[in-house]
Amino acid sequence: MDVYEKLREIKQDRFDLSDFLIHFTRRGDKLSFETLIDIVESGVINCSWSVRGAKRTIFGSLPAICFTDMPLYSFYKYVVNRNDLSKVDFYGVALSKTTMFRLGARNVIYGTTSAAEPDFRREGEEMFNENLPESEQYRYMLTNINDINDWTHEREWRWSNRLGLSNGNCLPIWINKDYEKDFGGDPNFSFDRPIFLIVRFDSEVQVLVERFAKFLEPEKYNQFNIGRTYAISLQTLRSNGRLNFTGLDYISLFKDGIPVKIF
Amino acid sequence: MAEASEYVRSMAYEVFIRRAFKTDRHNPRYKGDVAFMTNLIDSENGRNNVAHLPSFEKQLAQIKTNITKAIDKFLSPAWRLTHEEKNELLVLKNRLAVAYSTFQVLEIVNVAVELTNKYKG
Repeated sequence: MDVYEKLREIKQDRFDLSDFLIHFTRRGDKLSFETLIDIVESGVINCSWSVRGAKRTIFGSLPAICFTDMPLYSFYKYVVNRNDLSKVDFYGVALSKTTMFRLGARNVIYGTTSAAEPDFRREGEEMFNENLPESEQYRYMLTNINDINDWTHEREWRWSNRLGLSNGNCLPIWINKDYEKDFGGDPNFSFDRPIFLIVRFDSEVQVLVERFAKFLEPEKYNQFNIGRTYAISLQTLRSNGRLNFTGLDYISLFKDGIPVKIF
Repeated sequence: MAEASEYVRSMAYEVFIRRAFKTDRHNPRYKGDVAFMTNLIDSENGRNNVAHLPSFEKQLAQIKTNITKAIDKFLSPAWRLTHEEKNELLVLKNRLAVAYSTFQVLEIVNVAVELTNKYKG
């Protein structure tokens, strides 16, 4: 048994693990679904500073994209329990953790080991934690388990363009950054597993399918990723009796969802 | 006149209203008759066979009000829905407020029916 198989065996039947990272949207100026549509139409997820109360929550000099490492059912329960759609809603994009790791995504560092966090160094709007090197600043999150700064349950991951693989501060998913004719897309940003778009209603799946129908030019759009993008709706999950750990785990085995590209 | 498939789809409306108010289809107070929905579908499709019916917009507003009242009924403590079910019904209520077609309304009603299935008569 090689190491890869051994690792698979170790992780088998662990309901707390996921092969996917979920970037979720929330209700703000726009509805959560409208934000998801914006992501789909632009073909990329843009990095941000995750500003809360006029303060950046992403440290360092690079903006980042936030993901959660929760399994899909845990994510659903989180949305329900938090009960605040302006903070988290059941809409998002689930991407392969393996590919995202290769592209430079890493888990958030929830606090450093020092007894008390140092005074953060500020340079304009940018904030730095002196305990971490510049390259890892984007991963830092202020944490104190004893008070209100405990977000460890979110199991956050972040991606920034630190490796310089993308053209800017964005993660290209359905748009090609580079086009290789032989490959039929962008090999760097092609995902090894299906990409799932998570929505609440079946009619929203239809809207997504209509949007993807416009993504035709292979030089511009990443047909490899589009071909393996699936939409799953909460409505269908519920009516099929899949709204449970086992049912949603089945999805991650690539056997569910509606392909957004109908050839 | 509504097609058979439209009539079948519209039944979800009647089921939900009747379930919420524990009433029959003939009680005018709750406007739970399937005909309210089929009339709305007819109006949406330009099949205005009944002269006394108000405009599509007015009918839609009335149906949305009826469904909202039914949702509110389920949200009252008497129904003892779980936290999760209540949360989902609130999401539906928000979505209903911005619905503008019978397709959207029926989609919401279908989910609401499913969420409250444990109370089916």
